[in-house]
Amino acid sequence: MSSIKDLLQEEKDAEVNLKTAEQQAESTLRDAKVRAAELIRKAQSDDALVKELTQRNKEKITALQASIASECQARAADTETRCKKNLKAAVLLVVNDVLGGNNER
Amino acid sequence: MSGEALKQEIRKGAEEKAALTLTEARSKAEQIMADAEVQAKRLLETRLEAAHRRLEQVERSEAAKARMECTRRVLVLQSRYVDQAFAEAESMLRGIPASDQAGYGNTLRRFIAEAVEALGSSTLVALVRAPDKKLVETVLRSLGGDSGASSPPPKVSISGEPLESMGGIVLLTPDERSYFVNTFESRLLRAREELRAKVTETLLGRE
Repeated sequence: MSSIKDLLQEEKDAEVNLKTAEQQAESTLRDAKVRAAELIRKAQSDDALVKELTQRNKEKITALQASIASECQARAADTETRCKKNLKAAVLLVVNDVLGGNNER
Repeated sequence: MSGEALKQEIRKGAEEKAALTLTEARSKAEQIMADAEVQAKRLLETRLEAAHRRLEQVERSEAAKARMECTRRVLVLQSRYVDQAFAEAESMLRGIPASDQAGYGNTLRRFIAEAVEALGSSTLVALVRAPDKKLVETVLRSLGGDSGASSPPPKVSISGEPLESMGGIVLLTPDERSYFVNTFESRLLRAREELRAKVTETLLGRE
């Protein structure tokens, strides 16, 4: 037969167990909050993805600049060829204009 | 209820309450982590989107700069050939009076007629290059004959002061208040201003 004393002890043990459970619960929540804060802080400050994106963009720009430079080279070469070929016609255009009559003064 | 049963009841109640407390705490912790993950993901997406927009802007700007630089280079090249065309034209014009007397005579005739018409005076003074004096005299003699105008041709005398020029003529009224400069230089100067676009088009073969 359990005595009153046993019952009181049981009650006391139960309280201690409950207190321990509450402390565990608090600890679990505290840990979760710390980990959540860490997760958010990392998302705010982790530059790895941004750096990777920036690096990819730099490579893209370099390729684009090279492509434009190549196009430009071709355009300049074409301009040079045309100008050389048509230089005489341009000279005659000027000479004829200077020598020509009926010019508005 | 027996004492033992009562003890078990107390223990069971406490265990259930403790278990419930822990379960609730774990559930809340999971929710906190899930919310944090969503927030972190959104944050990262926002940062990446901003970085992406910024980098696209950089890319557009760099491409525009490269294209502008290319256009500038091609324009400088074109401009160099336009200048060369004018320089060679000047050189060719400089040789015309000596190399093509007949053609130059016709040119002078046109230049004089143009100046006479513009000035509209009955007497004029002509400034001519020293080597052109005889040629101009011949042109002036023939001027009245082929003008076809109802009014008599103006009386043009040649100034004793020679004209320093590549070619052409300057006509002025005796009081020197009106004059008409019709030299290769003056016409070339005008051509440089007015003909640049056309010369460029010709050089590029777009005519």
